[in-house]
Amino acid sequence: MLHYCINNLNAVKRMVAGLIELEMDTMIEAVGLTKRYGDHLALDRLDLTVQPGEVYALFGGNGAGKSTTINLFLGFVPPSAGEARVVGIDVAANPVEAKRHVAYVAENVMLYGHATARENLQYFVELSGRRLSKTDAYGALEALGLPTEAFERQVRFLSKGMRQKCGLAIAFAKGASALFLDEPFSGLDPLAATELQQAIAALKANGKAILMSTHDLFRARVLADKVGIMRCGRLVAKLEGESLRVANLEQLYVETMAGKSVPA
Amino acid sequence: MRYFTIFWLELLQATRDVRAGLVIAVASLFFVVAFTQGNERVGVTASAVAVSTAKNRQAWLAQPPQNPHGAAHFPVLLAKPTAPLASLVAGADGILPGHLVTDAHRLLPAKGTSAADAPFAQAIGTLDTAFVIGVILSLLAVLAGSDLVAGEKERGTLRLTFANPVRRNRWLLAKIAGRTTGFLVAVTLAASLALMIAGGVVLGPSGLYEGMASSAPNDVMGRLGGFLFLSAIYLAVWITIGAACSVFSARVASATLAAVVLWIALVVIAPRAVATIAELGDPIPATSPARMAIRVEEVRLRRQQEAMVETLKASGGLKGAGAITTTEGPAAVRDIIDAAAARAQAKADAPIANWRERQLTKLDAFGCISPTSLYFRIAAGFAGTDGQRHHEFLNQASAWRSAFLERLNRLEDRGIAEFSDYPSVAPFQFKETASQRIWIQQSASVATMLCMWLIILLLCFFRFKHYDLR
Amino acid sequence: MTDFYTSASSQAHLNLAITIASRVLKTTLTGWRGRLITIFWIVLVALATWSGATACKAEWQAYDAGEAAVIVAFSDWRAAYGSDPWRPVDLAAEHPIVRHLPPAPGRALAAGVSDAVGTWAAPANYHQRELEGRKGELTPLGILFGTLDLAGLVGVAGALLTIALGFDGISAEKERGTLALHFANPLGRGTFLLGKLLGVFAVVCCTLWLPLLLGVTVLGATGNIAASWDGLTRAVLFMLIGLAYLMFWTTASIAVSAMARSSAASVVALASLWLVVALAAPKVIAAEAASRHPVTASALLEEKIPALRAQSLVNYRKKVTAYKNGHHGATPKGVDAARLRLAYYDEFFARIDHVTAIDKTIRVAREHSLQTLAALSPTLVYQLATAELAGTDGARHRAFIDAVDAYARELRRWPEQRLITGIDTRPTWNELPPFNPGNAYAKTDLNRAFRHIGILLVLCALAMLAAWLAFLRYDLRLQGA
Repeated sequence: MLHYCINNLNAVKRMVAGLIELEMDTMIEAVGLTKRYGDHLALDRLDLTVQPGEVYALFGGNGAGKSTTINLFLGFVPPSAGEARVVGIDVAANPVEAKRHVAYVAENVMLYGHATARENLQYFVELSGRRLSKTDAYGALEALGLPTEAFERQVRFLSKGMRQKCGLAIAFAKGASALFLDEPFSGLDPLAATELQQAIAALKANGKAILMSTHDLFRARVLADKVGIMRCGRLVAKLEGESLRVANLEQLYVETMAGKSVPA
Repeated sequence: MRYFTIFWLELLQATRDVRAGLVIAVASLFFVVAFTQGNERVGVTASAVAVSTAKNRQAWLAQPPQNPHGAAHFPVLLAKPTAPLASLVAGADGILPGHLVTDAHRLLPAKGTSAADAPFAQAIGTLDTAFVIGVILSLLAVLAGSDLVAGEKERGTLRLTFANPVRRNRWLLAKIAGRTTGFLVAVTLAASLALMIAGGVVLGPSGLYEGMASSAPNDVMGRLGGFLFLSAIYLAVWITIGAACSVFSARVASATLAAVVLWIALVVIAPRAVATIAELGDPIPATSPARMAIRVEEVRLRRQQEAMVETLKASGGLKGAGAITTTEGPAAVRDIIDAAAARAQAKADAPIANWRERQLTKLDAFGCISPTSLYFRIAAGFAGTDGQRHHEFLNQASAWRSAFLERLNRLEDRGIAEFSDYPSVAPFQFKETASQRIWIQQSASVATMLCMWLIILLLCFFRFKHYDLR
Repeated sequence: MTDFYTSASSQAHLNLAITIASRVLKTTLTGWRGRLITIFWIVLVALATWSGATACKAEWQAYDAGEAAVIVAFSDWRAAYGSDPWRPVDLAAEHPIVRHLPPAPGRALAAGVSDAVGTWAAPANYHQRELEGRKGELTPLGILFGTLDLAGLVGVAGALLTIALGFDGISAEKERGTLALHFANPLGRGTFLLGKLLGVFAVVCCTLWLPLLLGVTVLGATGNIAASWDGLTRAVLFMLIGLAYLMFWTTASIAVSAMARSSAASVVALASLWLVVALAAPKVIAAEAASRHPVTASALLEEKIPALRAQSLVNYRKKVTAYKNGHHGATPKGVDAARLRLAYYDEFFARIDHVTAIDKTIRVAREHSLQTLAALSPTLVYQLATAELAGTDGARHRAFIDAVDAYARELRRWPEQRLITGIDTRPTWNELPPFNPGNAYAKTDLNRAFRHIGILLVLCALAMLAAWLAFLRYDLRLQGA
């Protein structure tokens, strides 16, 4: 599938370029992002940046603040302090403008069950303000590796992996620069997970900035440029570049969860 | 014993569910309104009768000269005593008058209606306790039952349950029993709450219970008990219908929609459709031709009488001075006329009476399609507000009127002008139908409702045998 | 509030809303829910249409049969009177003349009060007013539930089915997870809400309103609605008010969906709202309107009238005695008798005028209370409005009763006046004074219908405001850890 992607990359690039202008300083940025629900501090001064063409993997247990982070970036809740920026636009101040450049793929990709994959794709892309023709829709689905016979099949009959690809295709076809993926690998069999990994790699190669929350250490090691481990609303460990390559992620994660201090 | 455990858990769940709270809230609100309005409704008739009787006596005393012929033109108010449970079940009393104003002298049928006074109110109907239980609570009941099986399946507990030595039918019965009991407990709580809020209305002096006890001192408890028992069965029927919807589908959403659709069909549509179908090809016969025929007959008889009077005068057989009008002739002559007139009246009334019989039969037969129309019919029977009772009242009122007229005629014959006791001479007293007959009828009808319930239960069992437990 | 509207132009805003609406439309119409409701509704509409047409035909047949029978009886009566020398002209006044309400233009659409009150009257002796064609007294339990007409169907079942279509407009999106997918787009909350509203309303129009239109067309085509501009206007207004009514329930469903935590909670809340507004409120309001103006004051009109008549008779007898005294004991005959009787009637009518006026005031006051209080329940507003459009409302019936009373008086005085002018023969049917039921109510019907549509639209606006406020604070957060 990787070959397939690479071979079609140029075609895909042309399509994407036709949809948006590739801005080389697109990014995802959190500056001192804090969220308080009453007395409970859900997110404590989060700082992170994701450059175009980078994948940032976010780890953490349940309640660590991963969902809160994504909620803040998508503008579903206002931050108590700090800023969440997408493509330089403050999401809280200018939500509608900021959302032109985002795309979101949920953990349980529930789309409209009685509509086909292609219909769902066209619909959600249209919401971002762009019209997608049937050919282009097929192209996007194909680029993400969805088999041809699934294009016109109703989504309720597709497997989880295929629905995931459909979700990614939506994110892709929108031409958004910042992608937010919520536990993309959960519940996938090894083959589907591999295909997904390749798809994300292709998107990364395409210049998207991707923020991904996940539990899958191994895939993340392969894909991610940066890794963050969250605990109780704080980013307690950050790795990138060389340190990421050499780190024993699993041990690091367990130790972090157990509360042992780690180099920041 | 484990089936009792299942029943008990279901009961606990049903009563702890937030929906139970909603049922209690909604039901108690409606009960309060129904009790209060029921009380108001019943109160009005009694006072109207008292006022009218007093006024009539005054009018009689005020007319100079006082004479029986004049009295025959005075309207007499005949009151139907309040039905024992009329405050709970308006039934036909919501539409038919509680009193008749009858003119003893006329051969026209008795009149007295509240319809023209508030036509739209009539058309809309009353909010009585029977309506609250029959229509409103039945919707809540069917919704309560609609996630019985499908809900378990969606939650995954169905699989968990049947990974045990549990028999299907007994489990289902225990569940239905538990949920029904829970619902009835909620409704009882609501009624108690309503009683507390509207306590004075129900239990205080001149309250609902007073009214009930005074109108049927002997069997008011029996009637009330019957009504409550009937209501309990009726609600159980609806919960079972909801459960049936649940057994026929795998998802709660589709079960709920099916339940709502069934409810609309059986509660909103069916009774109206039945009424419409009953009249199909058999519209009300026009009564005016019959009444005109009576009038024509009246004229013929009058002329016959006049001829007789002339003959008598000529032969010198008539005593008495002054102008003889057609109604003041010799008794023998008048008796013949009256008998003929009565025959004409009976002949005229026959088509309407027959039509009514046919309609009632059809309504009885078709009424079994919908538990709701059956419920209303039986409830009205317990309450004494069914059409039959009114029919009885009309018959007895007509008989009284004929007797009154006869008495007046005899007084005129004797030349008596004083009639100081008008009209209490022969006060009208409504003789209720023998309670035995009522009980037999009602028991049969309640048995029909029980059969209905049984059939629906059996349907549930039959379907559940093939239910996919996965 | 910065994300309430899509920042692009209002055209783009509208386009997005339409996109969302068409998705809603497609999803519902292809789903089992939409199909089940459509089929069920079509069956109901067919049943109600048939029922309305049957009721119409039955009424017209009954009118014709009744009138034919009356004419026959009249000639019998004439013959039976023989050669009575001094009361030939009493003929008309003694014999009950049946006069009927003209067929209501939209009787097939809404039964209104038709079944509860009489549609014919036979004014006859004294002040009696017999009302016939009234089913209530004859089969009380049959009429208990009302008739199956289109107005009743839409008012009660239509509302519930609208709820069934729209109760999960917003909550289902959240449960399905597609809500977050929507808002990961430059989409304002207001735009989304508008899209949903338009979508559900479009579904309601296709599923519920179109079959209704078909039913009304069938009724019109088969001649059950008056074939005139008036009838057409009424039918069109009937459809419009149906639309406004269904729009109210759509908006209410979306509003509650935006307020509720889950679809299950939403359906229960809406069912309760429906129970209160559509089933209970009309009855409570009607009872309240009636109890505010009890009839006890002028109770039992027919009871008072004879007493007043007796008093008039006293004066009449005095005059007869005076005549005898002035004419050597001869009883008044011919024109003299007619004059005396005419004087008696005039006095009698004058006496009862104030009684009938009280009676009428109470009835008018009741209607007025009902109309005022009706704004509390959209269903009652709808029922009143459709009855007015159909011509089966209480005001029309009351106008008929007034006309009948006036006719009865005319009928009573007419024979005497004939005698006075020298016509001494028994009248034939054609010579009887014609009955003109009047048409004054017709214009006010349509005015009031517009007012009711206005009330419904105001209620819609209120519901939309509620939806807007609720959705502003709606929790868009992702579910789960």
